[in-house]
Amino acid sequence: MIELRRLSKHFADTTAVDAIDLSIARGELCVLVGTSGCGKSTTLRMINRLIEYSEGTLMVDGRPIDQLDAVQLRRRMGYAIQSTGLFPHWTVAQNIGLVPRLLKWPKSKIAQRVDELLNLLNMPAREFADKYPQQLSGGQAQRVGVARALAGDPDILLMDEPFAALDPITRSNLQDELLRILHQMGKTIVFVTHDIDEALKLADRIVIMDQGRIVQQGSAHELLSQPANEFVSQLLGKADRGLKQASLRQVQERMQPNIQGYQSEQPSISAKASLKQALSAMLWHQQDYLWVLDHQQQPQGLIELADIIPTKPQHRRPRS
Amino acid sequence: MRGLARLGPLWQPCLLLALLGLLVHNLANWESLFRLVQPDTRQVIYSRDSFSYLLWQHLALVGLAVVGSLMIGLSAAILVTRTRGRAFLPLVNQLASMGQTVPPVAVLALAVPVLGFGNPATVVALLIYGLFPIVRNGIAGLQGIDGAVLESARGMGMSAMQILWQVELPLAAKVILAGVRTSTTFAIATAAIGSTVGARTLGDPIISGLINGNNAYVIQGALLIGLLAISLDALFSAVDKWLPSTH
Amino acid sequence: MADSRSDSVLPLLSLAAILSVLLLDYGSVQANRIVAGVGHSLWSALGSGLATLLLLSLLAILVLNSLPNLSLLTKLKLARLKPHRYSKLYSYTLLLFLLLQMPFGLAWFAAIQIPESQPFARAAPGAGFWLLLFFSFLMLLELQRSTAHRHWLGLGIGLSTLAAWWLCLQLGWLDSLALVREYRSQQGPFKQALQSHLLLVGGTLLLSALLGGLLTALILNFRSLQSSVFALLNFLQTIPSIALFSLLIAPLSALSMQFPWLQSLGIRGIGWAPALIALVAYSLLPMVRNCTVALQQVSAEVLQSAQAMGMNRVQLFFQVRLPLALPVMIEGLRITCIQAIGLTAVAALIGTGGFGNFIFQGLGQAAMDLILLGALPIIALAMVADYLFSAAAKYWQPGVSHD
Repeated sequence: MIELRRLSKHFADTTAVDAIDLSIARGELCVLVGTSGCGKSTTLRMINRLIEYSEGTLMVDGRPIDQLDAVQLRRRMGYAIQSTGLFPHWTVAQNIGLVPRLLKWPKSKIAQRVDELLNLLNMPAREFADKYPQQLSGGQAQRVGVARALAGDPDILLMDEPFAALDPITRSNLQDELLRILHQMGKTIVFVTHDIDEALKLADRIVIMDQGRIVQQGSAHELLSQPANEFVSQLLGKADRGLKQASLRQVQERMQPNIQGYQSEQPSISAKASLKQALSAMLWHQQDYLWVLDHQQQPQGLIELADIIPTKPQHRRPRS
Repeated sequence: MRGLARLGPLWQPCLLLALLGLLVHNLANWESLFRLVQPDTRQVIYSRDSFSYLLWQHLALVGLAVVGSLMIGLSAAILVTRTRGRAFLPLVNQLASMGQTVPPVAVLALAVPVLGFGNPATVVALLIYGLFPIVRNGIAGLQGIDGAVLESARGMGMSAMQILWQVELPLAAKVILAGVRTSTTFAIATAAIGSTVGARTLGDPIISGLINGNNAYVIQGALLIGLLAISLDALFSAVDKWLPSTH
Repeated sequence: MADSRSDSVLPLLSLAAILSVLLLDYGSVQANRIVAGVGHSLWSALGSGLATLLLLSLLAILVLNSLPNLSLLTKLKLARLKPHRYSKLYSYTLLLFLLLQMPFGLAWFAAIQIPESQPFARAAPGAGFWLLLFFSFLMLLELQRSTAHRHWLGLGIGLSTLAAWWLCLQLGWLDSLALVREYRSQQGPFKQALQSHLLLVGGTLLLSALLGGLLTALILNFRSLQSSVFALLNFLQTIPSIALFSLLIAPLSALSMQFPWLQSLGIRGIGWAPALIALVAYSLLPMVRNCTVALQQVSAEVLQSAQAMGMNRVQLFFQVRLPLALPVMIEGLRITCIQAIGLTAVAALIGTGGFGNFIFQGLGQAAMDLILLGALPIIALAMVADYLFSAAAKYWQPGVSHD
């Protein structure tokens, strides 16, 4: 879908992106992570030609993008950024309807699309359609930003730290909603963030960049279990790497389907909870097992500390 | 409903303009009143030209000049804020701010040796002086737009022209309008002085009154000019309130 | 980066200068004060030698600053043209030459084009001369933008140009210049005009600073007054100067009729009294607006931390608020002063004297040189005031060291 081959960008005397290779498959959510100045945003903005690349090739759907008209290309790609960039002189509805209008959709279809997107993002159209951006909270503005990016029904969505300026709770909610929407739509997404936890939560594939190069790419598990070098493990947060890994797995993957002796007053946990949450609950209750419940609060099985930490014999602590 | 509410601020300039119209048409009938000011003079109502003719002339000079400065000044501001003209930005900006330190009377006076006496010299002087605030405000308005807004406009696939007309100019409108307002205020005042370089304006009664020691003429001219300036300023203020706020 | 993309501003300006000296009259000669002048092209005004030199220097500036733009040549590897290391130095030198030659060139023009037999003939610079001056000035501004120590350099170039003019004037080489003739015949009135102009502007500044300070203090202490005071001052500012001057005549003359002792103070319907009142009225808006904004914009955190350190109100004002607000307050003075210089010229219409007198007399007599004798000093005064107040604001900019 998106192919970057030996792609470079040189500014006056610096190289922002240094001959990177990357291919992003249709329907994939690819997250570029790195510290500021690592070239992740530059890479993103080369895809919709907000920045022209210096060397290499960049293909979308098998066609080099320098053969496409930049303006037409951008209309096919959604674009959402941290500071939203909503037009302050337009209402929410006008803002969301921007790309459909540029694509010359009929008016009724635009209105329908705006309503649909607002509802999708849990913002009742009747309440929000006629508001101006400065009347919205940060989280609401960011939702509108995402809706605007989705409005033209693009195949590709480019997102540059869209949630970075939000408070943790709003951010987490929006991440959940993004995941929900994406599962419904099956878009190809390139997502830039400096927040490794956001990357671990959202990504099908994480691409770690440093100094204009790709240091490592792979799934969250691959990265956590085999960080390529010191930089990656630093970025992943060396000290709580284990916890991060635990947060990626669900309790139901490790539980024992054994409900003998179940008592409803004993500590329990949802099957969909992460292993990290299970560990936390065990620590809290000072107990090395929890009952596992399904969403109807029916017991499904049991998880023990040993299921989370499957100790190998040679690593067993010597007993006196 | 909202439209009516937005038109609300217009009552003030409308009232003032109505008052101006009333004065222009009836000033000539109030001879006894002006006689109080100037008891010993035979003629107390300025009559070389009718007041409505002078008002019309004054407005035409100001209108021509301000429209001219707006077209030239805004084009300049747009050009130097594009990538291609960016090189000229500092110079144009500096020039516009230096131009504003030159007193408008001096510009008017300098127009005469170049263009001679009369209306053209006055219009050109007003136009040139009016450029400075419009260029400055135009540049400030266009540059004051949030970079993220422009980036997202580009990112959404708007063409350069669409961005200019649908995003940049509407967002800079308030600041540009403030520049036009300043230009207009200066133009009205300087056009009055244009009487001394041979333009027919509402300054005529004043100048003639000052030369002949006829205070009645002076008051007639001053009253009309003052009222004209205040009504147009109120009109600008109404338009400013009517424009949607962008911050 | 900035150098390699070196812009087309300087080449364009020098091209404009070349075209204007080629296409327009460089100077003109009048047989006497009133008749129209006879125009002279660059060649006939300066003679072929100096004219060629002048054109060559302009061309040199054009070429020197175009070199980095000839990217086509570099792309084709036809030439390895890099911005010349010394191109800026050369450009400065050439510009200095262009500016310095101006008075000498005019003197030369007068010498070769005014016949001995016409003692009343006068030479005047033409449109070509003025545009050359204008474009040279713009080129200087543009060059300075990318130069270190630009303020000293600009000051140096400005002073040496002034020195050249002064020298030519002292030597009497410019005596047959129309403006100089005009000045010589108006020497007494000129001094008087300067005096009354400065007096009126100075008085306005002083009075409006006092009154403005008072109003500011009032506003800061009674916030509710702010909007109505500003509405009033804005209203005053909107009234055209000539109208305000004129409207004050009748009441003041009535007053002085009633109280003859006012007349002995010089307060009459016309003259300095209505002018001063109107000037102060106009000055209050920039003064009060800048002072209040300056004092209000001092951040609340700074003030709170100052209080927390135990500063009392007086210390807080003089050691924290005032120093932080000073540059904006000086900016208010700058606007007031420039505005007053221009309005004082208009006030000449109601008999205050000043340089406006020359302008309006000149307009009345259709004597262009007299108009210039009024307009040019006004512009010069405004420029000097602008320079001085800007420099002061910069000097008192808090948090910037001067070395």
